[in-house]
Amino acid sequence: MRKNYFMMSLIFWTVFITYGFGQKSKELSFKEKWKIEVPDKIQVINFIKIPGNLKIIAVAKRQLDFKVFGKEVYKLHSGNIGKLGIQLVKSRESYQIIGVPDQIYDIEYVIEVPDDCHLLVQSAFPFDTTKLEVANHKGPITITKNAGPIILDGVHGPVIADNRGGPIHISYDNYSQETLHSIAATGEIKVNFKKEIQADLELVLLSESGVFSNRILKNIPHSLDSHEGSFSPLPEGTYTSKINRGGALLQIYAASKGVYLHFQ
Amino acid sequence: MKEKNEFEELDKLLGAFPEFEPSEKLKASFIQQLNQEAAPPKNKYLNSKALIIIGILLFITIWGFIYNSNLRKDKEMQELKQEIENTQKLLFANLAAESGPAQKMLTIHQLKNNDAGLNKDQIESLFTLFKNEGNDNVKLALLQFIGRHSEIGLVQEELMECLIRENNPLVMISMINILIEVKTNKGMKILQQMELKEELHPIVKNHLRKKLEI
Repeated sequence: MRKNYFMMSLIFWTVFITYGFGQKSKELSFKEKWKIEVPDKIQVINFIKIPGNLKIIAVAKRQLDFKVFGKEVYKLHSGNIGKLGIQLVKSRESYQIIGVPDQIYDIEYVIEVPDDCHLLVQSAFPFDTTKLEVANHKGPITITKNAGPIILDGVHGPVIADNRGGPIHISYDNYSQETLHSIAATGEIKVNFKKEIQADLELVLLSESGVFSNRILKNIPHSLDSHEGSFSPLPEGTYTSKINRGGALLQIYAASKGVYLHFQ
Repeated sequence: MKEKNEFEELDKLLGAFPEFEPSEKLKASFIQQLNQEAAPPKNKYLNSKALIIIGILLFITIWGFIYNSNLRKDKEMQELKQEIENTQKLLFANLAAESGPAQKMLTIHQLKNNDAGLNKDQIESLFTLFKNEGNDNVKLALLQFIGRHSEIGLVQEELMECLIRENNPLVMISMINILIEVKTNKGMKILQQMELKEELHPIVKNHLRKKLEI
């Protein structure tokens, strides 16, 4: 009987000590930096489950430059994950930057990427309300996000973006004719184009929704580009229109929060 | 009295002249003309008969032409249908081989323009793709195409199965719209049960409630 108590006590303390060391947190003072050269053969940069607001700035250099800003104490669990809460996995043609989102922190990642690569961002962990921003990217962009806003500024695309629980705002610097563009969001969808854009627009309203534009869109009885005043929502359905005699297909899948198409 | 005598004398004088009768030739000509007018002209009768025959021939010719052109059209339609079916088969093969979401969506868009109906194998391959697809934009595009064939029982069954597993609100709304349109008993039951779920995404719940009210 005594022997049993001894064994149980031994197991308890072993587990306690192991667990305690495993969970030992480190307090990191932020601003961390991490700069990596990107070989020409690397054409895809894939961000997976980054645990914080992510601002990706495309530059005309073959490098990945990480800067991390944070106010809270960042608990670093055991394992080889680096100080930034992310792992870099290199393969022949792509770099994967994988986050460790065991908790969501008040962190902002500012990352410079080569502006010609294919940028993939998959936030897909539940209750992600972080913000994702991409600026000045000239290559293809594919984004899947669970919530929080997606803001793409000065991009060329083709853009394939899906936001399951938030808005998508896109401002095209140049509309790529390479292949189709597809945007789907439960939140509002705002797209800014240059006035000379050429596109085949396919607007799929999954439920009754307001559609606003500052330009006449043939076959789409939209309202004027204004947040104020009364407007007539369009019933669910698929609406198509050619912009400047047509071009690469732009599919927009929207729910009830409104679609804003602005030409400037 | 004197006037009466003058009149009788004048009458006698006039009676002395012989009365001229119309010649027999004139009379015969008049009778012939009269007969011709009374009876229908022989050549006119022949003309209307010819017209009827011409009409029948014309009708037969036109009917033959239309029949032939319909046959040709049917043949052309058959060839076109065959061409669309072949293109569709090719697109299905491409769809299975494509890896990127943009390429898949382009293929689906082309499928929408080359829609020759769906057979059992094609429905199954579409839903296998749907179930294994990680990109929601591709799923939405697939549903746009699948939705055109919602009258097929197998499509409805697969949709109901996928709806239960789905967690993207936009994809769910798209599926709900298709199932609401076909209004099958089983489908409606699933939607009604789904609406009661607490954990259902508020956008989906709201949409479903509105749809079920209608």
